[in-house]
Amino acid sequence: MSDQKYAKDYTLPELMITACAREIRDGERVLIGVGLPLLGAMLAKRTHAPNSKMAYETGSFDSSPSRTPFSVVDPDLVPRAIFAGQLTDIMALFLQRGFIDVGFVGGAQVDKYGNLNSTCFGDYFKPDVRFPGSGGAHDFGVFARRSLIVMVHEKRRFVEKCDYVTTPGYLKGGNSRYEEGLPEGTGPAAVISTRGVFRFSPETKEMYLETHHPGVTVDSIKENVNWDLKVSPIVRETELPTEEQLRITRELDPEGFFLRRGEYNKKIKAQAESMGWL
Amino acid sequence: MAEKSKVMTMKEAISKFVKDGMTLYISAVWANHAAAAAHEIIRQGKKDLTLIESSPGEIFDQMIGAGCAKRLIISWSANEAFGTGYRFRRAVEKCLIEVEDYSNFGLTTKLMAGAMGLPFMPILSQKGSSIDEVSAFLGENKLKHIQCPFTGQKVTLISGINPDVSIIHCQRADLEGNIQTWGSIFSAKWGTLAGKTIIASVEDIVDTDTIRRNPELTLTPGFRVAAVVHEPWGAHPGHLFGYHDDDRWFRYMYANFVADDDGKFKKFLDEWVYGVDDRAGYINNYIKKYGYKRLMRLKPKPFYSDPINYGTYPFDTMHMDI
Repeated sequence: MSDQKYAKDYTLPELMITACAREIRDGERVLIGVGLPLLGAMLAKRTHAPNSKMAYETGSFDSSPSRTPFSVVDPDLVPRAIFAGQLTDIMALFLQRGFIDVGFVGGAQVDKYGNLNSTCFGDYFKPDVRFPGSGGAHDFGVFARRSLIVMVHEKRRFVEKCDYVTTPGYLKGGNSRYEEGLPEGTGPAAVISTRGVFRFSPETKEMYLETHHPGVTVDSIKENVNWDLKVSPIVRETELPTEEQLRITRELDPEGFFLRRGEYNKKIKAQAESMGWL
Repeated sequence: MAEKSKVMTMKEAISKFVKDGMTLYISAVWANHAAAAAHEIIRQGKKDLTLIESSPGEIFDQMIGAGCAKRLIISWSANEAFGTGYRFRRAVEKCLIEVEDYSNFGLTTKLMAGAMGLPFMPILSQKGSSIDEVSAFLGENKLKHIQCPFTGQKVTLISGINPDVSIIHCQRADLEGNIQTWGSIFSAKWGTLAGKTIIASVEDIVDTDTIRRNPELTLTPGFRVAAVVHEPWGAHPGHLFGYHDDDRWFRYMYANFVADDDGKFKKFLDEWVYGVDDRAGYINNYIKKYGYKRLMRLKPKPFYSDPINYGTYPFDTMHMDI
């Protein structure tokens, strides 16, 4: 990809989608949820990883969608798929058996060992904010060889300790994940946030900053993390989308549902008003 | 010919089988989305229900908002990519309902155990997290960790469940309740089969010979099914493979301009649930408001699979005539 020209005019979601795509290697089996990672996986398949296969917890595997699925339950994931089964097929036969290479997960809070919370802020029994919950994320995080965490980066979300651990990362660091009985050779591989890309130390399993997004300083990232964040000695800028990657990403979302949500919402709102929804 | 028809209206099925305080599985993950049943439950004012489904959306949210639910056993609840499940969120934040959280796999194996008549199902997730450390109303009966008696590895036992009633929306059934479905069905197989009583709403009622020509599509033979409800468009605004697409437009509007506002939510229920008698009334309201053309856009163009050869097999297997 290095011989290609980098795009100049891109947005943050587009940069993050490209970062997601670059985590996927050709031939890998990838489990995805809703949102940006889905576009990242589709982008990878259309560029450097044409032999990657996507699995959806609904039960579809290696589908041939004619539109960008807005969710894992899109009916378009079934026609011309290689396999159409059910949740337990994907979770038990593929994921639990160790046949899934990459799983994307999101969350509302992450700690320095990559433990994730997508359930609640505050006390579980009387939450300040209740979020949707695990969905398949817990299972992806347990079994996928590499789980990839995609996060909005705010200080209150990068915490010393999660209010609730929905999806286990490296627990207390070191070998603690495997001592707890989670499968060897699995765990978070990276955090892709709205400010940078983070990885985990092979020994301590502590998160460190690998790249910062263009225009974001390392200091500002450290300020927005609630622990003393370690920084790679060769920290650099996140690789930009190439012109080809950007073109394909935009082709995947012509309506702007994922990429230009503000504009999309405005357009729909005008229609909603004229049709009596407001 | 059918022994005895199980076909009835949704009104009859819900009033006959669903009682206050029951535990219900309702297929609510947009595929096999049993929306018509959920709306009838709201219309009949059922109360104190324990609702179970892996990743439910709007219809659970609406049942919560309408005051039908007391407890939830779920792994995820929202209006999917379209927005937050506001009724769910508020009710949990105000402690109006209790929630027991599993993951999608954990929850589906809970139903699978029930469907198979097992007291529990072993799985290898629900470890190292608050899901396995914290339990709500199920207490000690949520799950347990054991050391595998064969390998010594740490295994999670998920307690099984048999909902009093399970409800699914399917493509078709015959009068006896032999129900058929196809596509990717998320947790719906185990959720349906776990039920003590099964209600199936269907887009088409077909003769038994149609069922027999595609036996692999049968989710369960009719002896498990108590009621069949003929309910075209029964999944709207969710989808049913081959019959109707997700109504993204309607779901987007609902999630963004209705769900968050108490007054608008009430108005929505008044119009789309209390203000109509049944699903036909709901669809008529849709056509009246938004036009037949918009509804018909949700019909996918046909894409048939190739016929497969099941073969017919001769009586004389020794081939003595050769």
